[in-house]
Amino acid sequence: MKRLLVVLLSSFLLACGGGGGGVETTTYVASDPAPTTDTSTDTSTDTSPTTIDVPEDFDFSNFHTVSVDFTVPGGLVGQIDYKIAGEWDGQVQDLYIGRGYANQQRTVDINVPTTIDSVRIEYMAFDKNSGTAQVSIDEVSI
Amino acid sequence: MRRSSVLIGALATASLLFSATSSALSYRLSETVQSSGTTGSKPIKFHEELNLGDTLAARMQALETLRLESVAMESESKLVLGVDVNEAANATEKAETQAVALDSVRLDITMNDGSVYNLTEFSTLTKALLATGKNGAETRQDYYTLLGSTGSNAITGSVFKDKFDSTLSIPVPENIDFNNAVDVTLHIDFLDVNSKLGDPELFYDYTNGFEDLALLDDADARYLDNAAKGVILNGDDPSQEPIPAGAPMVISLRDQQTPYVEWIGYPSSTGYYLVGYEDLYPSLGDYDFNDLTVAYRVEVGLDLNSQVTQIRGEAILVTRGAEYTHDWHLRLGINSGNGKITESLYQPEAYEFGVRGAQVGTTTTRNFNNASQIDLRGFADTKALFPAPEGCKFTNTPLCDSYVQGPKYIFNITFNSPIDFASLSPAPFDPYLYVRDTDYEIHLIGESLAAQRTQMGYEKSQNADTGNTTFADENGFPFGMMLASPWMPTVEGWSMEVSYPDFTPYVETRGNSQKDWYKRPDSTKVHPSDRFTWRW
Repeated sequence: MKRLLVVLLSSFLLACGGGGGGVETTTYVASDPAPTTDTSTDTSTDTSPTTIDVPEDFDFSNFHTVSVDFTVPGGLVGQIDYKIAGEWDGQVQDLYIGRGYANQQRTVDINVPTTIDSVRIEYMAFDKNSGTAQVSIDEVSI
Repeated sequence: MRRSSVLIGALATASLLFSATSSALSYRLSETVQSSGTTGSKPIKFHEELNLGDTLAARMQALETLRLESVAMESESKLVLGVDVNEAANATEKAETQAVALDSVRLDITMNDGSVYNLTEFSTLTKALLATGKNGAETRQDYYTLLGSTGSNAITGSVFKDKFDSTLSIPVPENIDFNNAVDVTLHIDFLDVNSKLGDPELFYDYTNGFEDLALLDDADARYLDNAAKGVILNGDDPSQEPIPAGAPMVISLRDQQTPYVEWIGYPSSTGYYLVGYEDLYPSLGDYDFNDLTVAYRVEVGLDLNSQVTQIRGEAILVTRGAEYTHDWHLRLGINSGNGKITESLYQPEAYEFGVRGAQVGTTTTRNFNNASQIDLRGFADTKALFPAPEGCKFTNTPLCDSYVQGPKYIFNITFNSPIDFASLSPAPFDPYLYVRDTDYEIHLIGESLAAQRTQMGYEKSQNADTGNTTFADENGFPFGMMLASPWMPTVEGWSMEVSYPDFTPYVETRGNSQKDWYKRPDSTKVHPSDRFTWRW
């Protein structure tokens, strides 16, 4: 385990921003001289150091790759489109859109937020000869 | 797979028959189908349409001539409309493919004897399974659709062939002679889809202000039917193998099979990765990860053999809390490949229906040969591209009242020959920063230096020369961090652990707890999402 020590900024060190004359050490963070136009926040109330124990090789990515295995339902006829969708940030997110045939087996790698624990697979089939539409939906845990 | 022209056979004979009757012309209509609520509905009055003729008799004669031509050429009594699909090129709709769905079409004809016809049959050459209103995905049913693209590859010299996209056919009973009509009014209602379901609904939603219309003669109609704009990219050239335009879940009613491409979205077709950087590398920063924040997504197109044919994506600058200026890159590993990269940059521009892009410069195209990496410089000189609003030192990081939407970069990579999907580097790929003031590259933890920078024509970084080849500090903390929406930028100077109190337990448990730490900020230390919307 590695340990990170970050000393919060006092108000006169506020608004560090990125590069441009900052003073840095390995133990605390300093900043540019305080600008005159953007110091509307007040950080003076909390200047105590905080710490994070960073696990070895932690990747900070907040996303992970998951394999989704599925079989296209056998009862669908005609052109079969399907999609894998997850839901986060308050909306349906389409992860994969494909086309296949009944009983086809597929594996698709998706890269989703680690907060997602299931996805939907929606199958849409349309038979041009008969004008018949079919819809099938599966919920899959990941 | 080859395409055949529609109704080539028998046309010579039919045209001889028709030429003895009259000659038809296409007419661009002055009225457009405009928004009415969410679906667009405004009557088109052919009997008042000056582009058809100066008098009622001339206008009705024009309609009758078009109807008779279709009888002669295709043995069908009908009118064919051309539609210029003019949707906003955002979300899943792109410049090369965009669409609307039709709920209903009605042609009302009043004859001079007082009789009235209400014609409600219509057809197009594409359909889609869609859910309407607030209905769920399980209620999807088939609707006719209109697809198109922005601009045209072909310049035929004909406004009808170049400008218009899809055809809409309305059968007309053979006993109707438009010369005896006094009122001919068209009603078009676009489908109110439930776009919250994502695709295909999101692709077929009606989002823009108007769609131009034309009445087409047979030649123009057949040209557009064969061109299949929005379905294939090169339909204007029948000698070429068709290239799919990328429209999702199109049901083509054409006789010939249309090509198709599958899409994997990273992280999704409408969502974005967010990546934030600390640009004082290799010195420590303030860990607010707002020195530059970029939203980006990548879509990978696969053929039916699951080989990669195309990669496209976009990126938007979200914050720039830095004195330094940077270049933002996205690097993809591919093992080996040849192809073409097309890139465009846009600045946001407000308009009546939201925000659209005003292109900066021109679209650039470059080829790559035997490349093992594709290193895209999405944003060059961020300080110039994304300046602070007046009264603020930085862009979207101080607690100023002013927020600005950042520029958008769009890229499209097409491979001459498909490459193995397994050879593509894993998502989220390598979004990295080059700090112009220090000549340092900053990558995510675990990524390597961009070894081919100079070969790609970019400046050499000093990372290798100074031994700075890894991207975690001595405490294991990153200089670039992946973030998930709805993460909002921190106020300048507040470290992530303070602005997001659950961040520390998330890290310390190796991500096994508080996975959604970014949903619970200290609201006094992040920018408010109700006042700052970066996506456009």
